[in-house]
Amino acid sequence: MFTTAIAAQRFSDDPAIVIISVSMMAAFLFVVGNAVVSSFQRLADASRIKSEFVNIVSHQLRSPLSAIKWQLELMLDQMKSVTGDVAVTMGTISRQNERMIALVNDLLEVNRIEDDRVILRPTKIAIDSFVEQIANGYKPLAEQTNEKLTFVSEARPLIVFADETKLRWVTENLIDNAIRYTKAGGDVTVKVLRAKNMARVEVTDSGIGIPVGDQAMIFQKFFRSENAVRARAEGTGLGLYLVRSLVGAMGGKAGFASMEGKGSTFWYTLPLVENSEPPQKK
Amino acid sequence: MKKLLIVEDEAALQDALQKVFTTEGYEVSQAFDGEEGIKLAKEKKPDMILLDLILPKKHGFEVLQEIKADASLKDVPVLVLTNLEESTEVMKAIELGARGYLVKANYALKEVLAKVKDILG
Repeated sequence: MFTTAIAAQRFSDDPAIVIISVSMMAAFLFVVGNAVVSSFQRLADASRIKSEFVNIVSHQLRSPLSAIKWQLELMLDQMKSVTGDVAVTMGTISRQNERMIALVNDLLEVNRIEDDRVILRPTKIAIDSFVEQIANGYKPLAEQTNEKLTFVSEARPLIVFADETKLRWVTENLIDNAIRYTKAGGDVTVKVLRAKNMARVEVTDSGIGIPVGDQAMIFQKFFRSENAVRARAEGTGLGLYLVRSLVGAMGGKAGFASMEGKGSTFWYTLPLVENSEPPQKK
Repeated sequence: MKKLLIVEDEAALQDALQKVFTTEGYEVSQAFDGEEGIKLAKEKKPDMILLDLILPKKHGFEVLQEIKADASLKDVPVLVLTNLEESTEVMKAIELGARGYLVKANYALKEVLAKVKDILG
């Protein structure tokens, strides 16, 4: 209809035809415009309903999950002297429950990011000792598969202004991934350094790496590369999406370099604040 | 012996909190809805109140408001224990006078106990 109207206007000298054509165009634009506005409205409504649905379901799930968590804690306390299969089973139930809680927390966080309402409570953090402490906490997990976990700090102190809980979550996620996607006997190095006016945290592993074809999608929500799924069935594909979003919300950036079969380096940066070690003069 | 009032409608959570605090030597009163929470707070005059937000009969924020408006209760520290975590809820709880805000699913009982001990000094 639209092209017909233009054609009629272009090839006709009759003012009546021009008026009719312009009227048709106006009517067409009015209808299309309304349809577009209505579509956007429907999309916005659908997005809001989805967001509210995830919010309600996630909060409702937290109640039974916290009941299981606390009751298990009481049972495990009473069973300190119990060993063998029962103790192992109870430990497994507890870990699986924590996974469910973490999944619900991740879904809520994704929802907040999408609705632009991430909660940040920033404080000054010496990121070198903060990351070192987290890395040290992962040594038992690395030792389970004879992986060598090393921490290196090239500058101290490096002070950032960030939300401690979110920063811990981001750092733990990267170190946890590095250990889990590295084969037994491999290496994981956690490094903190200064990059101009930013603190940079790098987690390098000798793991499975990311296929070239998957690299562009690695920070997308729910994406998992094929070799990651093969290596480890568990995982939602939310971790790296949250890493990049949360670091971004705190004023930094996240990225990676990887070679399939050789390993990966995932990194994030955050702006430095005062009291940090000054840049080295060259 | 310190007196504690737990206002929580989930029986399994009430049970876990009651066990852990009784074992630690606290005298525990339990309310399973908001109205009972206010009634027991007035009767028992606890040293501290653990308060859920989504409660039958009266929302936790209303309970908190009434406690803070009561001259005999306004100085009793209230620790909000909930599974809601949006910034608006956290801010409202603090504005209404809560001394702390913990998300149940993210805290172990030992950590709740430590927080209570910390607030009571």
